[in-house]
Amino acid sequence: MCSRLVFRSMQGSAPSLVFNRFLSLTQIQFSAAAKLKEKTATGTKPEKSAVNTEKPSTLPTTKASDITAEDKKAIPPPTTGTNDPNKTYSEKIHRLVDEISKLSLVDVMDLNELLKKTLKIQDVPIMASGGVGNVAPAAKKEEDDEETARPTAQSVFKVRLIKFDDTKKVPVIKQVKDVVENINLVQAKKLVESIPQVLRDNLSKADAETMKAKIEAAGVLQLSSRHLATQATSSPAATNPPKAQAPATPPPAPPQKTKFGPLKDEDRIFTNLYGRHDWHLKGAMSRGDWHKTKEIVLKGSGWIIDEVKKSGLRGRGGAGFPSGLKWSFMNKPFDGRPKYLVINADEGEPGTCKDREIMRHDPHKLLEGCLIAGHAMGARAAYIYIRGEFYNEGSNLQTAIHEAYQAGLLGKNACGTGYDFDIFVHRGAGAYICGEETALIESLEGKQGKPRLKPPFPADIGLFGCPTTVTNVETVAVAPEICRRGGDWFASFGRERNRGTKLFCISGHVNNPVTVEEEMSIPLKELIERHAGGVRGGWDNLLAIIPGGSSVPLIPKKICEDVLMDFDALVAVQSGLGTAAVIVMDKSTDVIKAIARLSDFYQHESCGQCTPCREGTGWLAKMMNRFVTGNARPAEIDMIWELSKQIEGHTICALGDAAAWPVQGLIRHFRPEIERRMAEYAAKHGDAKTINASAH
Amino acid sequence: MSGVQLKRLLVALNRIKQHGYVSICKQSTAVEPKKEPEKVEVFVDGKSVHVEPNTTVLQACAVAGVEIPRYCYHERLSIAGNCRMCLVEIEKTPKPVASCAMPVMKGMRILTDSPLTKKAREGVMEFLLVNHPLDCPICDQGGECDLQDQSMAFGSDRSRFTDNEFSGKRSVEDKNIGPLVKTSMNRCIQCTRCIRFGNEVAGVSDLGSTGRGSDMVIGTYVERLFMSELSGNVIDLCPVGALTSKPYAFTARPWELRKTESIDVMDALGSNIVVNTRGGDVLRVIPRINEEVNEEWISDKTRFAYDGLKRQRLTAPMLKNRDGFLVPCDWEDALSVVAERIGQAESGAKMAALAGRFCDAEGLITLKDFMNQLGCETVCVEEPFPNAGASIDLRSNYLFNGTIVGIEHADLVLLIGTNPRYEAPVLNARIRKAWTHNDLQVAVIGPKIDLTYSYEHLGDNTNVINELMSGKHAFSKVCHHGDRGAQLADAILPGAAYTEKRGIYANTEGRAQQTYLATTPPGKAREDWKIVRALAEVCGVSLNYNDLDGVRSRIEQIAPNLTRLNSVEEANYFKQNIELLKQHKTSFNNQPLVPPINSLKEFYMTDSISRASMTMAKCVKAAEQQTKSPHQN
Repeated sequence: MCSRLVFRSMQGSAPSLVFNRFLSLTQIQFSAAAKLKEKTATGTKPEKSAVNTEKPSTLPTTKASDITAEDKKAIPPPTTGTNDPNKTYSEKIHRLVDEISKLSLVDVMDLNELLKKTLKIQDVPIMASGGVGNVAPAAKKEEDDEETARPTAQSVFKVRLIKFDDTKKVPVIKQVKDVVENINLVQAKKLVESIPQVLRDNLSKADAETMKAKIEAAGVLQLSSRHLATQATSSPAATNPPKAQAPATPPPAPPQKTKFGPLKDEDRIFTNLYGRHDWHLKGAMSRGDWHKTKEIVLKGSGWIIDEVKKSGLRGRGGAGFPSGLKWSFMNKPFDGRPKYLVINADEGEPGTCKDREIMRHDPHKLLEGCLIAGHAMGARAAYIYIRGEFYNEGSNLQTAIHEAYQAGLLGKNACGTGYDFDIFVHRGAGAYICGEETALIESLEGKQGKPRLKPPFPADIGLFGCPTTVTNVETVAVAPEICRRGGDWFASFGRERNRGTKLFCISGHVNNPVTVEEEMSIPLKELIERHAGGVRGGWDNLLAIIPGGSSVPLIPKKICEDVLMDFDALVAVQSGLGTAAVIVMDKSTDVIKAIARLSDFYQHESCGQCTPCREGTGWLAKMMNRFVTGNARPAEIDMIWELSKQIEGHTICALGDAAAWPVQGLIRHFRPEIERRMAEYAAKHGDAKTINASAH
Repeated sequence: MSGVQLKRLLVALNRIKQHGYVSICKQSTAVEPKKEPEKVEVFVDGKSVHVEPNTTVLQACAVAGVEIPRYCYHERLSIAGNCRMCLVEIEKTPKPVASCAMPVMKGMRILTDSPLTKKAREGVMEFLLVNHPLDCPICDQGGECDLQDQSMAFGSDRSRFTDNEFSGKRSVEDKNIGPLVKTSMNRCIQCTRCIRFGNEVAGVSDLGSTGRGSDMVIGTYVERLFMSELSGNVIDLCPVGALTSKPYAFTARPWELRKTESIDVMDALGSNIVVNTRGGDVLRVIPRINEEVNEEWISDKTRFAYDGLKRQRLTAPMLKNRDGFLVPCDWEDALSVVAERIGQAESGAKMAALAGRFCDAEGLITLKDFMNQLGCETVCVEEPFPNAGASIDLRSNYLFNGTIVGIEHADLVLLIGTNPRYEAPVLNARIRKAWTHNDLQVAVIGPKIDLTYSYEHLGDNTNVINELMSGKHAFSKVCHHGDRGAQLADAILPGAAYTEKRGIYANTEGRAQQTYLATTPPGKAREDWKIVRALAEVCGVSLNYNDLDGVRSRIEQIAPNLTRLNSVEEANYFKQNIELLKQHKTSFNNQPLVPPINSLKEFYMTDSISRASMTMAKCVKAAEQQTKSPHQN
């Protein structure tokens, strides 16, 4: 019962979920699933005598599944349940439902917990909103495959080579090699000799047409471009239970994802995260970078932004602002000022090491992302502000830019789109604060890296006084893949509002520290056990985890057990996803000392511009260092809490907040430890204050 | 006439025609009446006020009569928003916002007295005080310190600085930025007003911040002189005692001082000042706000040359004896000797009267009346004036016709043979302000100089002003300072300085303003007009006024504009004047135009008061040393 209630409150804002997986057998994907209105597709389909073009047909889901059985599953939505509109409910039930529907997400969690306790319900994951126990049998069955999907109107094409003119075999092979990417001539020959063969899959209609035309020109006699449309069998609204339905009967919940991760290899965006392959242009292209960039750019900025909005991508730099929305702020009428895209590659957050992996091993992903994101916001140029210490990363990036310019992918008429776009790399000088967007802009302008007051926001007055968007490396680097595979594909990962895949950097007391791409909302425990080889000394040896880089509050083991790694779940446990830099601390850690070290870091990195941060970070650090030895009175714990609240929210930028949160997290979860140490110190040295007063 | 130093500063406010021909013109009327933007209604503590869009929350609160505490915000400087003292709660925002930087929005509800606001202020106060030394008893800012006042009003009532017992407060090395501004950097709260003043108003980016976090330090990076002629203003700007006046150090508390509102005469701007005195001594001079003249700035000479009022003063009348030495004597002797010498003159034509730069209108009118009655028409001033055409008979020939405020509405300013940066620093700051905010264009005829703003250089040798006629006969001197001129004199009749009399001075734009008596004249020194009046009596010339009111009514007869205090009367007869000037084409030749003051060093000593000032002497020395320093701009 309880989990169903949770689901209800989630459903209020949830659009229909689409989990379409068009997976080819190869590891690398080149499909761009474009959503087309199938009627237009039907109407505009050309037919030629030489070519057997099957009319795109609207097929019931089951049939579509048959046709695309080799690589596609379309799951009919469950249609069971009681949605008899005439049924009446008791007033008590109505009141209950009303009250529950007004609860916030956090409250619902509490309710859930309490209900679990009182009713002694077992094995219901807190955040698994779909509710394992309540989904209809049909849906439940599907979950075993992790392939829950609600079909929607979609048109996909497949190009199949059926027959060709033997005399023109060589040109055909060549053309096939060109069209089917990632194969060499030998493979192309084999392919052509073993007809009928599917050349390309998951093509949009337009792509299929162009491809067909190309190969026909080479001498193909029969080529089929088949429509692989699936059609939603029922509208989502109809399957949704009416809002005021009796809780007593299990509703026909639409299949909602309840299990997140592990990510399949073919769903990985960063395919060279570990530098095992060539990072140069050639290698990058072989992995699919710069593929159809021109087409994406030519689709226009509105299309790109829509796709990013659809994907649910949120900024990967820590704050988690919806990227599509942010980019759309730039689409104001041209007022004579150029617009700029600034890439924040000043990755300085302790524990974070994701952007550097992208820049040294997959720089072309970033560059392509710059072009696409830059075009989406009409930017004239992109500035990549790279952390000064990243020497090799900077040089790889610069080399990659050089290659891209040589290949005509950047610069004047980038990728042959007629759009001029430049990318510049600017190296920082080693200040953490320059990772703050306005401080970064100041630094880029050649001034001291001190954050600006907002408003005006950079989208109005940014770099050199022009509209600017500052974006994290990872956010931009995933954009091309989102455009190629479609926003829906990206949105098929993670929970509502926390979509996509994400690089997690796991460091600290784990057996195998690693940076790994995973699905959002993966349980923290699973993330660590699966990818980082588990906590040193076993899970029970865990003390606490800082889940999102140094600036978020730590969470103790108890919470780590079942928390999901996404923005909302971590906020609900009073922490944050931040940069998803998981810092694991086992029981050997002096947790007070660890946080004191962070306080020292923030004192060192405060820019000194505004009062609470300049004076407060130093004060916190001084007190924290006394707490390490226990040389303080228990009343000072409340005082430091108050001080941290005096800093938080009172500063120009978020560094003040970042300095305050770790201390707050420590007090929230480890207050007894601090008090114990103080008592120990007092027992050893007498009253702490008198000792020190006489010592100084 | 006074207020003459800028007579060659011609401000042409009409757009320049073709190749820089500029005439003396009236103020441009190009200010188009703009459509009044719709006012925004906001609520300050529930009280509705209507303000213009784009005003800040802090300004809106001021309109509602609520003053928000602040340190970094200053209305004449750019907004920094870094002290966080002005945080206020705005309904429906989760965090308190910095009111100095937040523009108002329609229907905004500002809470300046809510618990959240109070808590924020108290927090910021506590952070500001945690590293601020408790040296108020020995701090010169005591009594006029913003930090002191605001911690009383908004701070907590108890201290939580337990860490001071362990690690003490932050200490910062004091900087030596010259002989005028004393630094005590421990007290600095990093509000950056001084930095912004230097960069924005003075146009000298000597001050800046180095280091970050709690190591952030305000200073010049390498030790050097703060090379600005307006440097003293940072003393007023500094909300704490980090920047104080070096000459004034440890001399007085503000509540001990008697404050006399007066006018400065060190340059032709007539800056409004407050003379602070105690027991007959001028202890300091601070600016008084007058938006039409000096805003709230004054130059270093205005502020610091006051110690020259006490040194080398002529306190008794003197006569040259047979050996050629000046010896003190009684007023009666002195006046009778001078009257005798005047009587010996064959006719009025063989006499001349020459007035210096510090003379007030009263003294001048008395002198002129006196000389004219003796038949002498050669009454002139030290400063060279154009004597072509109508000469100085028409005010349009010597006035700064555009008015000082007019600079802010001007499209173009032409500077001919002048260096306003040193001749009238505050005026230069005004030009710089217009150049910064209004895209004012500046053109210069004369040598290339550093004016702190960019200008178009038109050449350096046109339009030389005619030389002044000379010719002296019996030479006596009414003056208050024993300067070079005094040594040449046969008789000395000691006069009163500008802080010692009520006198009317007209500034460069023709604005008549009045000084007030802040101290009594030293020794036997008397006001100028009284001396001349007495001399006339002895000479048997009757001047029909006996008191200040009488003199002023005489002034009103011949120059009514001088008695209309604090207003600018426009010059007139431009057309006739130009006609007259056309008859004197020969008065221009090709001598190069050289402004009288070209460097900071020269700026400090330009007249008898500043030459007598020890402080100014130190400044000259410091400026000289700075030019030899390896750390140049």
